[in-house]
Amino acid sequence: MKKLRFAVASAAALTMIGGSLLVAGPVGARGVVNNSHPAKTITVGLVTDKGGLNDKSFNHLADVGLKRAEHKLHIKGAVLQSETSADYEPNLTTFANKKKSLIIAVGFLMENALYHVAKQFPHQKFAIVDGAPADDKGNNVNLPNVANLFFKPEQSGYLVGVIAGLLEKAHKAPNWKKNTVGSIAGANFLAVTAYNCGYQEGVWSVDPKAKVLADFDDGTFHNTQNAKNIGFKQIGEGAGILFQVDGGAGLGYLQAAQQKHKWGIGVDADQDYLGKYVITSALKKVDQAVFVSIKRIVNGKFHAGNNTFSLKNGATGFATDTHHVSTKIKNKALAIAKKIKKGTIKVNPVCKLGQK
Amino acid sequence: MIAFHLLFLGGTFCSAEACSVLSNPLLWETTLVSATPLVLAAMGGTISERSGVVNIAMEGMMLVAAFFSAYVTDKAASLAGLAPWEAALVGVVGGIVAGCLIAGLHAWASIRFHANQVVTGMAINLLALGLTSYLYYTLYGSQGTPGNLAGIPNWNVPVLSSIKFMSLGPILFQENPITYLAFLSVVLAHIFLFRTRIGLRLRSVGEHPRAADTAGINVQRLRYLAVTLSGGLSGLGGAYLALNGPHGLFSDNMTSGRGFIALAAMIVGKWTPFGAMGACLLFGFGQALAIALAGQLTVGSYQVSVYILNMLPYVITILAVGGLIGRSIPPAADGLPYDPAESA
Repeated sequence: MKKLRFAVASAAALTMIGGSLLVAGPVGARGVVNNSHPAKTITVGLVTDKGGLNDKSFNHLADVGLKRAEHKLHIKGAVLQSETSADYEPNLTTFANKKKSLIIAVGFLMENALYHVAKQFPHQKFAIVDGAPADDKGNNVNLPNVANLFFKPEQSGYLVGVIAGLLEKAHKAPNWKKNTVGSIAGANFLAVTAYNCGYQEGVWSVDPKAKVLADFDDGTFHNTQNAKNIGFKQIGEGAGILFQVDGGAGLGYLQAAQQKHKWGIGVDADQDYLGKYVITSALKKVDQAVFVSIKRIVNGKFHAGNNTFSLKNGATGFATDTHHVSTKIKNKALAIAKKIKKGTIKVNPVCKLGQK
Repeated sequence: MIAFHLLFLGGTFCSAEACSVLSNPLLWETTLVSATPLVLAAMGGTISERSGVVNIAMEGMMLVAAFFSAYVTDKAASLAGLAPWEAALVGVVGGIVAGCLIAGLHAWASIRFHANQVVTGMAINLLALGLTSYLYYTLYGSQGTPGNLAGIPNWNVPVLSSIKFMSLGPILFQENPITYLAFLSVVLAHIFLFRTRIGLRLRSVGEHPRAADTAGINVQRLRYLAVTLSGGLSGLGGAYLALNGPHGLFSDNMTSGRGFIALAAMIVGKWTPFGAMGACLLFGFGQALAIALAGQLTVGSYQVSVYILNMLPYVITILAVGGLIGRSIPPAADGLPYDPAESA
C-alpha cells in the first residue's frame, strides 16, 4: 500500500514537472533586466492562447512585439504559455499578482477569462489582442482598465484574394483551368472568418466567375493532419491556391499545397520561410499592436476601450516580398490597398463562406 | 455492422450532393490516412492491456514520438548529411525509440512501483505535452521545424497501384509505407496474441497473474515487454503523423486527441487486434466524412456541425461499454498491479 501511494504521488509529481517545464522555460529564458533605467522599470506580462508561441503566426507575433519593446523601450517582459483554455485565468492571475505595468492577453479566446481577472484587479492595466472582455453571457463589455486591440483582417484577406484571383485569371496559377481557389477557417469566430470573407470578396472583385472553396477545420488550431486532409480535398476539387487561416494546424494545410505542387498563402506573419510556394501572406501585425500598446504605457497614455489597427496605421496588408507574382499584379494589389486606406473600397468582415 | 448502420443512417439523412461524396475515392483514401495512426496506437494499447497494464498514455507516447521523429530527421539531414529518405527513415526509428522510452517510464512506475495505471498514464500524457512544447520552443524557436524537412513519401505498389476497378489502385495501393506497416501490425498482433506461446502467456498474465506466476511465468517481465511494445507501436503512429508525405512537420500538440480515439477503438474492438482495427477504420471514416461533408450534412433543415461528427468515437465507446453494441469486457486483471511477493 505504501508503495502504491508513493507511486501515485510520484505520478502526480511528474505531472507537475510537465506543467512547470512548460511554464518555467520561456519565462526563465526571457528575463531581460536593463540597468540603464534605474527608475521604475516597466514590466509587461504576455499570456499566449492555446496555439502556443510556436504557431508561427499569432502568438509568435505578439512575442516579437514584446521582444522589440524589450529592446527599444527597455521594458522587462515575461511570457506564460497556455496549453488549454483552462490555463487562461490562472496565467492572467499570476501576472496580476506580480503587479505588472501591463498584461497582454493574446487572442479572443481569452475574452471571458480576461473579464473575470480584470474585474478582480481593477487597478491592473490589461490589453487584449483581437477582442474585448466578455461576460459570462458572452456579451462584450468595455472595462476602464482594458485596452481592446482590434484589427481589420478582412483588408488583408481582400488583398491576398485580389492577388490569388488575378493570378488564376491571368492563367498563371497552378490548375488555373479549374478557376478555383481555396481557403480554410480554423473556427467560426469573427477574428478568423473576417480573413476568409475578405479573401472571397477580393477574389470575386477581380474574377466574379471564380469558385472560392472554404472549409472549417475542427476548431483545435493544432490538428495538422486534419487541415492537410482538407487541403487535399480542396485540391481535388480544383483549387490551385490555398489560403490558410488556421494557426498551427494551417501549416498542415499549406503542406498539402506543397506536396501537390500548388501554391499557398500564409496568414498573420509573413510565412514564406516555409518555401517559395507560399506566394504571399495576409498580414495582421500583432507585433505592431503589442509594441504600440506597450509604448503607450511607457508614455503614460493608456487607451481603455477599442483601439483599431488597420492599413491606416500599417498593421494590416500583404507580404510584399512575393513569389511567383508578377510586378504588374503586385502593383495592382498595392493600388487597391491605397483605395482601402482612403476608404473608397470598403471590405465586409461578415459573409457566408463560399457564397456570394 | 456498425459501419453498415452508419452508412444506412447517412443514406437516410444526407442530401443527394452529400451522398455523392461516398463515391469519391478521396474519401476512402482519407479514411486510410486518418485510420493509420489510430490503428498503430490501438494495437499498442491492446497488447499492453492484454498483459494487464492499463494504457491510456498512447496520446503522450505518440506526441513524444512525433516530436523526436521530426527532430531526429532534421538532425540526421543537417548534421550527418544523410539523403532525405535516409534521414526520414532514421527519424522513424528515432520516433519508435522515443515511444519505447516513454512507455518504459509508464511500465517502470506501474509495474515496479505498482502505481495507479490510470494516474501514471494521464501524467505521461501531460508530461508529453509539456515536454514537447518546451523542447520545440527551445530547439526551434518561433520558426518551427524547417519547411524542407524530409518525410516518408507515399509508395505506389507495383502493378496493383494501377488497378482502375472502383479506383482500388489509388485508394489501397498508393499509400504511405507506414500505412501498410499499420495493417501488417494488426495481423502480426493477432498471430502474436492468439497463435504463439508467448502470446498465450501474455494473455494469461492479463487474466490471472497469480495462476500464471504459479505456472512459472515471469509476470513482471512479460508486462514490461507488452508495455514497451505498445510504446514502439504508438511511436510509429506518432512518426507517421509527423513524417507522412514528402515533407515532415512538427507542431504543438499535433496528435490532437488521436491517442484517446485509439483508446476508444481498443475498447469498442473488445481488446482484439481485428476488432480494434475495425473500430479505427470506422473512426477514420468518421473523420474523413467530417472533412468531406463540412457544411453539407443536413438533418431535415438543420445543418449538422462537424463537431458532432468528431464526437462520434466517444459516443460509440460509451454505447459499447454500456453494452448497447455488444458488451466490451476488459481482461480480468487489467489495471491491477501484481506483487509476486504478496501471498494470494
